[in-house]
Amino acid sequence: MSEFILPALANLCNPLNILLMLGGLAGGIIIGALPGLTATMGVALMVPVTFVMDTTSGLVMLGAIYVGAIYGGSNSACLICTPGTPSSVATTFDGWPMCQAGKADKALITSLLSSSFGGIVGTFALLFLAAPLARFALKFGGPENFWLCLFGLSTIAVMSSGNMFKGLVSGGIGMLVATIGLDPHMAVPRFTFGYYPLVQGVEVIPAMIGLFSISQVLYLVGSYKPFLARYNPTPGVFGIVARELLGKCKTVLLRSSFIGTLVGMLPGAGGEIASIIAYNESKRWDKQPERYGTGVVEGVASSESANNAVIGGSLIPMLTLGIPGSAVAAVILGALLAKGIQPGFKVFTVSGELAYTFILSQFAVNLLMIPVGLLLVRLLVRLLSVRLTHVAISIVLLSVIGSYAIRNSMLDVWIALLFGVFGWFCNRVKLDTGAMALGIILGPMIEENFGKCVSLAKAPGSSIPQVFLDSPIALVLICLTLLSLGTPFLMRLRRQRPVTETAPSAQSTPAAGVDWLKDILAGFFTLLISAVFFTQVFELEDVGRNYALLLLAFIILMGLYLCVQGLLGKRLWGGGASSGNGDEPVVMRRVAVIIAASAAYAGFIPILGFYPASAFFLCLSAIVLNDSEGSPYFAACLLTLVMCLAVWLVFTMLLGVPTPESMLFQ
Amino acid sequence: MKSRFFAPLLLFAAVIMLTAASVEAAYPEKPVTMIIAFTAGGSSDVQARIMEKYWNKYVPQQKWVFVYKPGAGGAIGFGEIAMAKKDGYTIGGINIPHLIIQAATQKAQFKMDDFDYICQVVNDPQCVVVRKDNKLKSAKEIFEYAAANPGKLKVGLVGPNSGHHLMYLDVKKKYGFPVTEIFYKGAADQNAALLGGEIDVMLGNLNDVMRSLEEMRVLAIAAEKRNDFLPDVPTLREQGYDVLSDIRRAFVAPKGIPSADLAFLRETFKKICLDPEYQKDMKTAGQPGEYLEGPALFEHMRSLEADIREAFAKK
Repeated sequence: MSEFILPALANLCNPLNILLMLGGLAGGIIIGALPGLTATMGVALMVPVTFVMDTTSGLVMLGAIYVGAIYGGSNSACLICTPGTPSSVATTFDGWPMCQAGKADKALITSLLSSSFGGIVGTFALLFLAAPLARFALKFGGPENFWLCLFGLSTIAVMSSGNMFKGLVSGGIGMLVATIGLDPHMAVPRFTFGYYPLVQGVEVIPAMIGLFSISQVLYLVGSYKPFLARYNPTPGVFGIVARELLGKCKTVLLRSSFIGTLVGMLPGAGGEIASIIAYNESKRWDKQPERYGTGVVEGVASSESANNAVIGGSLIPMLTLGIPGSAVAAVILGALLAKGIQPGFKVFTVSGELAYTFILSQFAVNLLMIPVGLLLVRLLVRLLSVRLTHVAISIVLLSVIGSYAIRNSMLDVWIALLFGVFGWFCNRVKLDTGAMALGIILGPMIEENFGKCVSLAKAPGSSIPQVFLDSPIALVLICLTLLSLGTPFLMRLRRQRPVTETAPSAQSTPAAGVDWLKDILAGFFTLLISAVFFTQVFELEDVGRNYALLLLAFIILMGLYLCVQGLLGKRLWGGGASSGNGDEPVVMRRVAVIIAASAAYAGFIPILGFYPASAFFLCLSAIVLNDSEGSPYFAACLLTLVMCLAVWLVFTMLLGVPTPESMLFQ
Repeated sequence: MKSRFFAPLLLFAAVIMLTAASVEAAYPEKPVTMIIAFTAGGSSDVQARIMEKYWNKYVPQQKWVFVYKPGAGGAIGFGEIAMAKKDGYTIGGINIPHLIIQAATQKAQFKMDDFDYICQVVNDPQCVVVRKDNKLKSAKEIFEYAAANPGKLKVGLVGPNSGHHLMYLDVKKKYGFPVTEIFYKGAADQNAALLGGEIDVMLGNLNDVMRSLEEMRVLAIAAEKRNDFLPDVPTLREQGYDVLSDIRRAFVAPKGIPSADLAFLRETFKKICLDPEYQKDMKTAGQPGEYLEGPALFEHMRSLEADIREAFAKK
């Protein structure tokens, strides 16, 4: 190893490589921050570019994009409550409240420093522990992955501790929706409702763009606020955050980075699970877990350090075994193979200079990210001084192109819009969109690994319980899952002891008292979805059907429970109570306008072409939704021009992402 | 005298050649869309990108625009190619036998006849693979062990309804092969399961197996002859088992593009595939290249179709 370190360092100091690292980082951060453009896509788009480069430089650049994009996702998570990449879902939980409280700079710098910290921990593991960790990762087969996913799912119970039933039913709905597409066991179409293109399934990204971005747009447009959030810059915020992170948050940071590295190296699981698990562990071990979700530094720090630690972790099995630990690592593996680099433990000797340059570049990239990120943070907080209506309309545009770009499919755009309305409605009735997203991510993995276990149990001498329980890792994960499920009760116990004398009334009574209507609506919505899926479930066979039936049964029970709870609540608290429920008032007319405008927009894209349709949409919605006193026309035209130009520059010129085809214009 | 006779002839010849040249220059007169039915950065994409490099060498005036339409194991992208405009400006990559299986068993929106086949570029044979420390050292020992201990051997496949699955059904039909089958979503998961010991044997493509050769032993290759990448590995036929199975990659256009365009594409792709530089690049990338003309490929697919219908109907 030592003989390669010096040449590797020399490689790093090559001006071209430094330039590539800086460029990759900046590009990655922007890709990550745009909802819909993920780290996987950013890296994949740049792979052809590496074909004409020196292998080392190409690899260094791809690594920089990866790191930048995963961090970049936190920017939009904090500023507009929209995770830029699936890994930043948990960052929205505390990042957005911090931003709402006027502390946007603090949230952004926390995520920057934590990302850098997590990235460095992950890279340390890659440098010193690659071989033993890769061996450990191989111990995760079907049963272990099944329990890991269940553990991930069980975090819903902690996440929505105030509202466990709604959290669970939301997760269930997410899992049910994720069954649309090809049945993984029989490879036959499932729940396509007679519409063949649905066989491509509900992809995680468009669904998440809907659940988070579009629903957030509807919320923002319907609110009375002129701007996203107040913003009171804190002087010397960098030093304050740095001290806070290294002081009271160091345990949180270390634990989360450790979790991130560990989850990252498992082939099945990536940043989206790591960050949620890390967030929950931080919350669980905190002395006052109820602070989480109100905008605490620890929340942002745990999620962001975990998802960046995943990077180093995911590269471990990729380099040592040729088995990528994440989708991005798979793309980087493709680039390596195209260059004729064979992964394996020997990669550290045979291609030692390349391997160590790459690993050391990861350290450099994580350090360089701090100045690059700080510069971009300065620019990004300006977003808070743009009128909210304009921000909201622009998010629709980005969501449309982003969800299209994932698979170049207009169907995905419609899925995103549909999920947007879903998500907005769910937020209104207090169903949990975070849990739903987790269900969509984990559902297919749970089903797949469950199927594997059933197949394994068919071998002579095996049985289902033996397959599921016969491994120490599985047992540990089961214990963790049980602990996780029990946590809400433990937290309630712990909360009751010191708080009893101060404010017992502030906790539950008013909240429960006014939610009866929401409960009924949530229950009704749940039952409606189950009914829709129920019409098709008996066309299926085998594991695919039983899994869907199990989910349906669970969701129907929960839906009925919610309805009954709502009806009981109505009888107990009377009908008039729902008026004073503390919700922000909503301008329904504006919400209806933006929904209609977005739908018309998506509908006109195949006819008019992407850019003409976008221009019409931006301009008209900015005029119709104008809420400032002055004339809206100038601002609307400016917004149209700026956004179209920016999208054209980034998507068409820089990334070469195709825009939807149309009849009139190309 | 002579010159008066020859002059118009020469002129005529010149005109013919110019028109011929201008016809050739006429197509392609705008960029060609290349549909890839899998994700960017995947094995199909890497191969097409190598093709692109040499397309730019032979047809420098027009580029390829890559459009990725992944989903449903390629069926979404294959359907897009079949339904594309028949103007010669949309072509795409397909995988065999995926395409035949999807058309035959999954209500896919295309048939084999919906395409004009340009040529085959990759023939990636299936291999029988174990972990290095496995005590079974040859394909024969595997077949014998499986027969003596029914269900004991756990065999990993990528699938279902894939080339791996087809080979497995073929082996079962011919030799019984009583084992426990486990399906994986992709080659990465399958490789991890073999190295982790969850499965004992896997059927995997040469291209995927090559990534972890340090840890795995390839016992046999289901091809007619040995492969240049692994010259020491015997074929299944050599060991007495008549099993041939591979995954092939090819480029196609929607059926009915102008015949001159199809001829141009076929000729250009042939030039690329026979270019020694291209072959070197393919070898570096671990892609087992094998050129086959479009019509011959279609014949091969026809011959597979009946077997595929039979194999998956029984299942």
